[in-house]
Amino acid sequence: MMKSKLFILSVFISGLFFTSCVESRNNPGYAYMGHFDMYYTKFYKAYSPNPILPNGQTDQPAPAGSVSRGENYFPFAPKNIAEKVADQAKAGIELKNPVPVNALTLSEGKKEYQIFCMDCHGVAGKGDGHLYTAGLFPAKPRDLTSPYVQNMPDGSLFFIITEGSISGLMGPHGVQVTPENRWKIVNYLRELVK
Amino acid sequence: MMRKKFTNQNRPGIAGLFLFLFLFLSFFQLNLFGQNEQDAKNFNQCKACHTIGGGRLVGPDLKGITKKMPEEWLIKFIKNSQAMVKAGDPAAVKVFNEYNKIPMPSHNLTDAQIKGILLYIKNDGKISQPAVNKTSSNTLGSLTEIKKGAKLFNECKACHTIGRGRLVGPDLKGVTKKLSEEWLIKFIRNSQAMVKAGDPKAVKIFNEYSKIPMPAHNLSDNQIKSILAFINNDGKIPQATTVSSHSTTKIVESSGPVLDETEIFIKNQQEGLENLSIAAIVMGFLLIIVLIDLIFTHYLKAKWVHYVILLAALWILGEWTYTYATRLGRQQYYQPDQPIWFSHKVHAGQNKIDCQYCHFTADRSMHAGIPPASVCMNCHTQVKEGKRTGKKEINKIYAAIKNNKPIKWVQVHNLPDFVYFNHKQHVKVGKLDCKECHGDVAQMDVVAQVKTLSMGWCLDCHRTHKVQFTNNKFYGQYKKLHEDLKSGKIKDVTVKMIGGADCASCHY
Repeated sequence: MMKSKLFILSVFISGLFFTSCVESRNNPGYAYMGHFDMYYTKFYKAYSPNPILPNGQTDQPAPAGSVSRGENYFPFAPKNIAEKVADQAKAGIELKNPVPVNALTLSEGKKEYQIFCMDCHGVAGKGDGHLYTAGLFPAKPRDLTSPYVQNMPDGSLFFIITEGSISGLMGPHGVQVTPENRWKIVNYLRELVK
Repeated sequence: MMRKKFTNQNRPGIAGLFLFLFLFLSFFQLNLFGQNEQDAKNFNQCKACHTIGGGRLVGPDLKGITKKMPEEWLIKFIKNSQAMVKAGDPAAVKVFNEYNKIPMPSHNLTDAQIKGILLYIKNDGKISQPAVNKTSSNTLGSLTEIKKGAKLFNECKACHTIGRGRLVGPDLKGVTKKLSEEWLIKFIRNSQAMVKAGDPKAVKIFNEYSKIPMPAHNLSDNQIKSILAFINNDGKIPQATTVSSHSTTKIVESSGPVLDETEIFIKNQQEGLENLSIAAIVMGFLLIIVLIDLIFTHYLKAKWVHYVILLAALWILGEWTYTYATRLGRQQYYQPDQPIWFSHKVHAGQNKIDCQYCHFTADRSMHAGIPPASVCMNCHTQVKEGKRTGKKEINKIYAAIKNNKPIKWVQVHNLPDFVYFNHKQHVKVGKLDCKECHGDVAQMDVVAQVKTLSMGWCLDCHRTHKVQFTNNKFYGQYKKLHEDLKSGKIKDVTVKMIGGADCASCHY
């Protein structure tokens, strides 16, 4: 009798022991010879942490003032609102739109507009994007077809996309959109009122 | 567990009231509102440069301004501040200099409108007491409206559901948040005209739903609006009414969060795997006991019991071995917790933000790109509170920016290092939709890997997927294939024909 009780108890305990190592959704699983068969190599990948480089990142920001190949130097780095105002006006005079207006660039500009601008400024640029109309974003986005925007030179619009609006309600999108695509968006904005 | 906790949190009273009003203002634009709501609406244009108690932006924080300055002066200043500065009004000049000499544009408002705005500022940006009564009557109004909409929606039920997945037409849950009211009214009236006119959203929906046209409906504006109100309320008739003067107007959410189709699928798969492992462990244990009894102890006399259990155990263990052997090196249904409780369902699903808004390098780099925290700040400078997580999760972004510490997101889709994969090639050249490899991320709160990402899965697509070969400079050098296409020898070019199934395309 004692023996069978012990037996049942041991079954129960070992059952608990085995069920505790069932995989959870946080476990990525296993690979056959993962660390020997080139599954997981030791080099640092773009987004992996890095003990040597500053801030522990492998992916380092480009040095200040460096220019990518095929791009023009963007000479402004405003630090406060006053500088932003001055630079925005200056950009309107200094920067010239290198992208020609034709059907191809306009369609590409439209595509970029739909990715980066439409959510706030609306399909037709009236400042009625769904993020605003649904009450998710509190302030009213600028009507891009209004004379205030359309009377600005191309360079100023390019500057606003790159560094954000003066009020700071629109953030800087220079990181997200390549310079060429920014000019295409500017061309498309002109097309909105035509 | 966690999700339940979030939904049970009530929004702070005033914010709830404000949100409610705001929704009404933007959705229904009813002219029932009293002066106070109108003032709040007028103040929206001030919000570009001013806050009430939220610190300075371009212009000063306006909290308490009505106590500091006389009303007449303020009216004059709002109407034309530059004239006052030029005239040398000392207070005006001081403000002008203090705020970096950025002129406040002159506003074409009537005295009464400005007085209304000032009253609104005086109230610290809250809508004053009588307004609460107004809103309560509005809720009642909307209640009847929603009831009317519920009746009218019966007609729609033939093709649509609210929150129960797609039928012939799309699931309408949250559609009022994604699309503008005007657009919806136009679409419901006559969708085909919009498709023909080339409205991009209309065409997209039309193509997505197998080009089955939605019939035109002869409904009045008010009827459609009440239907939209009903949809906006997730197809429920609210039981909520306003309570006393201090507390909030809110719509009672009776049920917990609804799991989407994809989420339920992932959960089932994960549970299936877990159940299989448990069954395998139990059966393995039984197998050992049975073998011991069969060979040594002979406790059970009926031998057939042993054999039945043996067979069953071998079957389950075989299945377990097969499943886990094929899963080796793959991470299907891997769904790690992230350092910030970020929901793709909210951002990509409900808010309809394009994938490439945040993963902006997908079309120009090998990596799809994890957005830097500064991209979050494009919206989250203003949006400081989540509906489900409150301030807790959003504060983590602010902390990351303040300390200049990168957020350690956990990579979900891992390929082994001996495979070369390039996003640019697939997104920009191949024009694949993100969904084709990542599943419907817009339906997942926590992202999981849905596809196997195995080599067979890659090759399946490479063998059948057609390349956009003509009008594409990238493939200009495949002269022979171009000739074959012209002479009609082949109909279209698959990825395999341009070397997409060679070993060295991905392994080198």
